[in-house]
Amino acid sequence: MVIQSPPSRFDNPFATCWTKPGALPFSFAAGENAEELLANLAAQNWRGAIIGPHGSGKSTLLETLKPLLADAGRNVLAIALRDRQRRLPRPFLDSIRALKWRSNDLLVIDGFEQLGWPQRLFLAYRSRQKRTGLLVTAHRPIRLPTLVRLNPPQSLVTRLVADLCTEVSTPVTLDDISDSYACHGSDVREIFFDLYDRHERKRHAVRTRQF
Amino acid sequence: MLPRPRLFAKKRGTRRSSVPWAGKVAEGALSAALATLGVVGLYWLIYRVAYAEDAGRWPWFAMVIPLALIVYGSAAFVRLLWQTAASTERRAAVVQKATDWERLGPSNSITPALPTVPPIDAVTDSPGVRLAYRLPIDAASGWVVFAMATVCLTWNTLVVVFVVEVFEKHREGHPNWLLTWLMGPLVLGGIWTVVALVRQVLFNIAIGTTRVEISQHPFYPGGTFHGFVSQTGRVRVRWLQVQLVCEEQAIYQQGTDTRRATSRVFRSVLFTRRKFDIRPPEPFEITFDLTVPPTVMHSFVSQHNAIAWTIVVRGRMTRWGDFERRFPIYVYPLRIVAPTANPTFAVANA
Amino acid sequence: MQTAPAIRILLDSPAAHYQPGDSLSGRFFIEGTQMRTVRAAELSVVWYTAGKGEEDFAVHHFERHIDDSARPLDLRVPRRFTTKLPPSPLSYDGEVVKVCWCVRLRLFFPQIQDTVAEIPFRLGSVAAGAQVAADEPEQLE
Repeated sequence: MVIQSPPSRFDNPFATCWTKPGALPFSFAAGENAEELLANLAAQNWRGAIIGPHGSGKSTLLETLKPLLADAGRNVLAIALRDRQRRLPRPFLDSIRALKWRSNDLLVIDGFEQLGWPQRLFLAYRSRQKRTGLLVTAHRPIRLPTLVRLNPPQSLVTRLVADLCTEVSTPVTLDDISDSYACHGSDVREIFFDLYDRHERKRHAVRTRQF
Repeated sequence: MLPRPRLFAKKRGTRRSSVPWAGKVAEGALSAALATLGVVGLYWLIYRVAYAEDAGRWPWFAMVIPLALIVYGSAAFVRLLWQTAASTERRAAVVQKATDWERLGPSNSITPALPTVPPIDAVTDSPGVRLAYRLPIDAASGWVVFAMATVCLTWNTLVVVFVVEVFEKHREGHPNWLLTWLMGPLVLGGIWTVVALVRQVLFNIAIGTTRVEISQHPFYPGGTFHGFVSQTGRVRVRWLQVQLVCEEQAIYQQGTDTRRATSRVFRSVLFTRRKFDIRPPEPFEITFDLTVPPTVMHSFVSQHNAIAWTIVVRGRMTRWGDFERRFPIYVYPLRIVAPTANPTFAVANA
Repeated sequence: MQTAPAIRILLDSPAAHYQPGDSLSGRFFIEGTQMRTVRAAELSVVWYTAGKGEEDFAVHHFERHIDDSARPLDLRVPRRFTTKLPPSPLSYDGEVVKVCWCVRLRLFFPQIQDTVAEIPFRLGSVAAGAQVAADEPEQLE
C-alpha cells in the first residue's frame, strides 16, 4: 500500500480554519478601507449596521474591525448569535447589566435581527438614550444607520481565493470560481464550501490516477 | 522602547493612549485588591471581634464574607494569569490531565483507553437472541412519531377552542364571518396533521420492528463478522437491502450560521432481495457476513467532528414507500486487544 | 525590534510515519550562531481536525522548558524529545474531516509575539477517504 504525505490543514486552502471569520482578513472593495468605515461609524455616534446577505462577510468584517475599535478607545462588548438564537445568552445579559453605559462603550452584536423584538428594542433604545455605541450585522436594513452594505462581486471572490492560495496550491480553476459564483451569488461562505468540495474531488481524482 | 504606562485610557483620533495590556493589569489589580480586602477582613474578624468577650457566634458566621472575597479574588487572579501566560497547548494539556484523573476512578466500562473512540457499552449491554449483541436503533425514527404527535395535539387543541368559539357566535346569532372563513385553512391544517400522524403510526405498524444482531463488538478493520436482521410487519416488499456505511460528519458554527456537512466515504451492500412478502407471525430473517476493509478509519468523535459507522436497513414497500433504519456500530483501531468475546481476533490481526 | 528566528524540528524517522505504540522522537533547535533570548519553549505533540467543520484539537504530549539564570535556555543546542504514541485517533485524510497529527513548538521571546513551528507526521496506515457515489435504488426495482 502506498502511504501519502501526512494529512494536515494545508491539504485544502478552503478548510474552515483558513476561511472562518478572523482567519481571513476582510477584503475591502476598491476605494474602501477600515479607517474610513471607522470614521463613518464615529460620525454616526458609533451606531451602525453592517448589512448583507448570508455569507457575504459581515462576521469577517466585524472580526477585522474589533481590534481597530479597541485601538480607537472603544470598550467593546461583543457577541455572535447563532442560528435562530432569539435571546441574548445569560452571561452576555449579565455583562450588559454590569455595563455603565458610558459613551466609549460599544456593543457589537453579530446577527442582531435574530433577537426577539423586545431585546432589539431595549438595546436600540437604551444605547441611543445613553449615547453608547451599537454596531450590529443584519441581513436587511434595520432601525440603525447603515454603515456598509456588503454584496461581494466575483472579482472580490477571485481575489479572496488568490489570497487563500498563496501558501497552498489548489487544482481549483477560475472556471470553478465562476461556476460557483453563478450558483451561490454573493454568499462567499457557500462558495468556499463549494470550492472545498471541488478541491477535494480533483485532489482525489489526481491521486487515483497516480496510484 | 516600551510605551509609558497610563492609568486611564484616552482616545486620540483613532489611536488609544493606553497600552493594550492596561485592561488586564487593572483586572489583576482589582482581583488582588479583593483578595487582600478579604484577608484584612478575616484578620479583623478573628483577632478584634471573635476573640473579644461576649462576642457571641455571629463573627464566625460573618467570616463567610471575607472568605468569599479571598476565594473569588484569588481565583480571578490565577485565572487571569493563566489566560495571559499560558499557551493554547499548555491549557489543553492541563485540561487533558484533569480529564485523565477523572477517568482513573472506578468504572464499569469495558472500553480500553482509546482517545476519541466512542465506548461500546450501549451495544454490549443488550444481548441478542441469535448472535451475541443486539444493536440499538438510531433514536431518530421514534422521535419523528413523538414530534408529529406533539404538533398534532397542540395544533388541534387550539383549532378546537377556536372552532367552538366561532360556533358559539353563530349559535348566539352574531356570526363573525371573517373568523368563520379563517377557520377553513386552520381546520384543513389540523386534518392534515392527523392524517400524517395516522399514516406514520400505520407505517410503523406495517413495517414493524427491525432487529439487527451481530456476532462481535466492536468491529476491527480487516475482520469478518456475522450479522442477523429480523424484519416483522405486514407488507409486500419491492426491495430490501442491508448496507455497512461509514460517514464523516462535520459541524461548522461560525457567523450566524450553523451547518452540518456529511460525506459517505464507504458503502458495502451486505444483502439484497427483491419482491417478497412479510406476513405475521413469521418475521423475515436473514444472516450475512460483513467484512470491514483493512485500511478504513476507525469510529471517531470529537466536539465538532465525527466518523460514524452504521448498519443501514433500507427498503421500498408497496403502498408505504421507502424506509430506512440505522443502527450505529463502532469500528476500533487495530492492535487493540478486544475487550470482549473472541480475544484471539486482535492477535490474529495485529 | 527582533525578527522571528528560523526554528527547526527534526524527527528521527525521516518518513514521519508511525504506528500506535511507537516511540516518536526527535530534536528541536534554532538555526544560527548568535544566542537568542527565549523566555520559554513549549513542545507539544497534538492532533487536530481540519476540513469543513470547526477545528478540534487535543494535546498528547507536552513539555515546557523555561529560561532561568541557573540553566539558560540556549536553543542553538538541539533539545531532544520523545513520547510513546497513543492507539488513537489515527491520521485520516477524509473528505470533510481530516485527523492530523503534528509536533508543534511554541517559542516565547521577550519582545516579539510567540512564534510557532510545526511538523506533521502520520499515525497509523488508514487509507484516504473519498466520497462514494450515491446509490440508485431504482436499479433494484
